[in-house]
Amino acid sequence: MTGLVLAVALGLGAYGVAVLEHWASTGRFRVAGPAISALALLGRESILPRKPDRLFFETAPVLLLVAAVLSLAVLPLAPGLIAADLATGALAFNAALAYVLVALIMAGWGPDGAYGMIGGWRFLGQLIAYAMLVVMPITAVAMRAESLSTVQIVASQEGLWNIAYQPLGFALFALAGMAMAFAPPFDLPTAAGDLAGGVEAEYTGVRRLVFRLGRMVLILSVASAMTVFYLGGWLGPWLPGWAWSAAKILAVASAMLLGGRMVPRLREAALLEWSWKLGIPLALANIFIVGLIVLVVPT
Amino acid sequence: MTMEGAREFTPLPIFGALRRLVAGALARDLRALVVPGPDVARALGLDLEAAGLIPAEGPRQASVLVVIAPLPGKLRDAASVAYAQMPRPRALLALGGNKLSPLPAPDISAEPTQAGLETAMRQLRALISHASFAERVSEYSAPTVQSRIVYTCPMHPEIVSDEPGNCPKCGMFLVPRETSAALQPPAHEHGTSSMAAAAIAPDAHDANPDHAHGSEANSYTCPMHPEVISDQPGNCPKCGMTLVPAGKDENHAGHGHDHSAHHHHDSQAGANSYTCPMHPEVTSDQPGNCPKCGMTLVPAGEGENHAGHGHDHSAHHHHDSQAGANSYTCPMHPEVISDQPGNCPKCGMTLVPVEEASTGGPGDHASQGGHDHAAMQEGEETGWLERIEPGFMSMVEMTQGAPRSSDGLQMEWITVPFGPFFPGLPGGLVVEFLLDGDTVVEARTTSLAGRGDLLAEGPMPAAGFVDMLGARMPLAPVSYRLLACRAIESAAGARPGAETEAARDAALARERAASHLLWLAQLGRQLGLPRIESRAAALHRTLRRADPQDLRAQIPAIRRLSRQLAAARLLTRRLRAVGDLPDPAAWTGPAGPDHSAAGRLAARLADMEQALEAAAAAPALAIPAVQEIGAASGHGHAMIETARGTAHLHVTLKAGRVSSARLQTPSAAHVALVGPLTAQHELADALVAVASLDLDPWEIDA
Repeated sequence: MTGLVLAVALGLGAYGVAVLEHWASTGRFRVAGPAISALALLGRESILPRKPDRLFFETAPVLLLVAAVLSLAVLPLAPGLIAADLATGALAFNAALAYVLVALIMAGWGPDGAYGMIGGWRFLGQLIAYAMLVVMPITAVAMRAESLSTVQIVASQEGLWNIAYQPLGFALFALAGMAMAFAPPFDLPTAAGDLAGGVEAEYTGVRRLVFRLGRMVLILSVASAMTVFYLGGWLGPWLPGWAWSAAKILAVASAMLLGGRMVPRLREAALLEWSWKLGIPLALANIFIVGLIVLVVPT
Repeated sequence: MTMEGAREFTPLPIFGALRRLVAGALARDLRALVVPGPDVARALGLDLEAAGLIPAEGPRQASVLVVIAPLPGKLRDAASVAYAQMPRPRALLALGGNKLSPLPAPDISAEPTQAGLETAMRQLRALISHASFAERVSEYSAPTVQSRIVYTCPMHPEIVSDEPGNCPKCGMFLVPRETSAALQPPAHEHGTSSMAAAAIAPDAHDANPDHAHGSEANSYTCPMHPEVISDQPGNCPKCGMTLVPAGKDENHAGHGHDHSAHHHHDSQAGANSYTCPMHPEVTSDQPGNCPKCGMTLVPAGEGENHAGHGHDHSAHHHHDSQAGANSYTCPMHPEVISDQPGNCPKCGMTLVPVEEASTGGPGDHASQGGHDHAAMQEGEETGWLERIEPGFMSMVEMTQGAPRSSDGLQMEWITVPFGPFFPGLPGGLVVEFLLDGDTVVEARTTSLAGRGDLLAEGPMPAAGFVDMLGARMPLAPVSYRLLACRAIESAAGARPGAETEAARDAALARERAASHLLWLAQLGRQLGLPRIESRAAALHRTLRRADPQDLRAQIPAIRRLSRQLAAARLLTRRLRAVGDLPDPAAWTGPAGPDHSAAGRLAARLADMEQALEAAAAAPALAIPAVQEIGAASGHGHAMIETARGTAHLHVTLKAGRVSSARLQTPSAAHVALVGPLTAQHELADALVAVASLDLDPWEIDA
């Protein structure tokens, strides 16, 4: 039963993100848009490039989707409404999303095209920028909760949400999460203006549909993680827990997608520079400050 | 109703309803690739988004090819390649003309106006929802979408040959490279591959058997076993290698064999020893060619100072001309030579016989434009271990001979075309980057939109000349009409009235402002700023034909946009780092104190406001038309400040007809800046630098 509810929630969530994404990129809010686009992709030919690395080419979109779904599995929607309540949930989230990199490099290599290949390797550089900034803020979150379990993490925010408790960590995690989901302005591997689609450029038809779906679930997953780690997950008055979760997740996703369209795409070098010279010292400071508060303020 | 680009299906009645549903979705989800580009569509006042067309990133994502005619031949050729790359079902929508060969006949044609487009879209939707799927479809085939193999030297890309062989400059084996069959080896060495540029760089022509192809693509063969021929891609039954299209890798089989034909015994064998400048482990007692790369062997000792390429280990070469079967060397340290098997004193690796070393791998340094998975697997009837290159895992060995970057790192160099239908660049412009990793080593810019001689059809009447020049420049028609009028009037000694002159200047000013908005929309698209793109495009639509009163009403909106962009810190920061002009005097466009891309943005915004105010202050606007000049003769010159810089035109009139004309355009001059502005920049920065120049492909001679 829980599984069914979660599957429906996943589908609705991914669909909602697709609507938001279309809205953010074209300024038009069309509820039926993603359904029409998906049907149209089903109708289009799925072209296999002439000299593909067949294994990589076929696997990449599926792997992206699987990694994103797995990362969502450890995030609770409401008390008891979680696919896998692991004691190491926060870690599992990271572990699952490590495969996003693999999927993108495979998608870049697979079709034997220059744009894809450059896009794939660019994402490797991007990982070096964002990876630490995903893990280090989660460390501070886990310190407060004294647990890596995502359910415990939500429960620990009963009094005060982490966005107020550790705003620095939230800002860093939000940016790093967007970079991980290669959402604008971090869309270096798929940029239209730089690489005409990059890693997605050679995918058409059904394969592209799977790729797009994976991308939507990935954005959903990052938005859910922000909700769980910083916005108190299901916590909130009057409404049932799942409704709070859903509202927060969609709000985070729209803020992410709309905000990213306001700034120009980052340069790879600038992204690395800011992550390592500014981001990581700030993340360390965040861990230190949270540590102090945890020690000093009695629970 | 039938559609040329319909998708084939097997009729199964149970899926009829589903197919209709999908076709309905296809008719509502129209992704357009615009030829020559969205800039030309906008300059004509077309709003494709409002008509329901979503801009596609490239041909693979497009379902409608929107062609705005008339197009020069090279652009039509490139468009046909893009059309072949589009997945079926695909539609062809022609605006403004049906002469599109080698493209197929358009599915829908319309006038290049917004009303025409809207009507065409209704027909197109009806067509797609009814004719997307057909039981039998015709293949699209044109010479341009067939490919052929040319051979080029990895070190000297200007060497292009139809047959495998050796480079006349350095003697290396020429490597195969795919190019469009329709084009002759051009004056410009790389020009052909820009055909493939539509979006998908090295693999320009698609592989779907459904699609048109060169005849070679229908037969596949093993690079190692040419006797294996199959009509389907797959693996070689003998060695398991991926089969390649026949004709593709012909010369691989000849590696290490055909050079024997070039042997010229000097009968001094034994006394001298010869070695390859690139592969010092190759030694021979006879002159000849290197079995790895085909370069001419040089007497040992001579190759050591090869062009300062920096493999310093070759400086320690002391071959004793004992390069027989019983000479052993270390794969990592070729300077270690022993007459007995054993271990390397430097690294402990097992020494390998020199002869074996010299019959090793292909040393394919030049799989340009991608990664050739098959290239690493060479060697006949030998085990895996023997088959690998002796320098396996040695970076020195593997990158030897490859050109070295300025930072000392060695990466694979690939040539990647950007354009002619690249989302981040003006339509028709092709910038071909030689990339070292993602750093630009060299850029080569061509335009497929330029049309060569102005008066190819002989002398023209003055009015016809003005119309022709305006039509040739879809991005700046008013500027060039005015330029032509002024030049002709100066030749004829005619002077228009002050009122006419003011109205013309106002029209020019309006076009300047509009042109800067077009550029801004393009920049927004490239940098991922859709809000800026759509605002600039919307303002452009209002401005391009507005009268002075309407222009006055738009001034606040333009000022707001301008202020907002000036305050956008991240944008300025991003632009300031790129596009610094080495010689500001070479730039004739809007300029300020800052010569970077950010400075050009600021200068264009200022120029836009100024031009708009000037146009709004004029009592009237008039599209320039030439004065009555009768049968005047003479020579005239005119100069004009277009949005992109200074344009000059010299004309000679003979009895009222233009008999000669010489045009100098700003873009033709600025295109030379692409090289210096992009060299050693990261790809994304290089593209922004090119965009910051606001090149007009129609101004650049083909």
